[in-house]
Amino acid sequence: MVQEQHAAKGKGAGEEGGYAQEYLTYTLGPEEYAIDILKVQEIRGYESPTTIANAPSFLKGVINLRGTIVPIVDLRIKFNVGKADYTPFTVVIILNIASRVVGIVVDSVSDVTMLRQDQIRPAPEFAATVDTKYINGLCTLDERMLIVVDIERLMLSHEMALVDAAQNAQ
Amino acid sequence: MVVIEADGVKAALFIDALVGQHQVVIKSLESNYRKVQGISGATIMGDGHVAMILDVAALVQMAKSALPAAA
Repeated sequence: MVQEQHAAKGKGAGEEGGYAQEYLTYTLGPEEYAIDILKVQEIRGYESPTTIANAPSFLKGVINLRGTIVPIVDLRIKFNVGKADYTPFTVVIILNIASRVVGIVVDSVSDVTMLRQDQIRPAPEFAATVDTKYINGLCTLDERMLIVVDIERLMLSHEMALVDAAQNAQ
Repeated sequence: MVVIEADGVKAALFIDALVGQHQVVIKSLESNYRKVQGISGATIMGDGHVAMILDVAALVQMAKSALPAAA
């Protein structure tokens, strides 16, 4: 189904500069990030999760999402940006990645934008808050600069410790 | 303190409080997360909260391997 959606979108918006795709943008501290919207299941408010013993500090715990147990990662703690406080306005983006459901806590969700492949420029090789191997590129939109993140690769990465090493090797 | 018996060995767990006794449906943590040592799964309580289920046998094993000299 995801592929069909991709194909439909490609046809609809592929006039100039090729293939366009919709991205959800969110902020972490002063930076604005964009992720593929097809990986996003829903956006919800933060509810305090059940903590897991021996888990890294950025893993806040697990929540009950309509009967599914979903781990919650606070990207603000993981990347040391922003202040990790929890207000009624704190948002969690629920992602659907490789048939797993994972929630990420971000500072705020901005909007959904359509980006063409030629708008995304390669990221320079420097040590940013997010390792450049998880960055697909940078994109300037009006006065804003978006960091386009490969959220799937990031969430399945070894340093996130969200999946077992054995599953990672597959 | 809760005294348990796992694999024919008695052990005691220091806990903060006993909350109650429930029959629950075990849900896998691995489906969306990964294996956690000492925890066999999770469950959803009546109020919607998530509770972890301890793997008592694994806890005893972990305690044993932490004290190799005592054996």
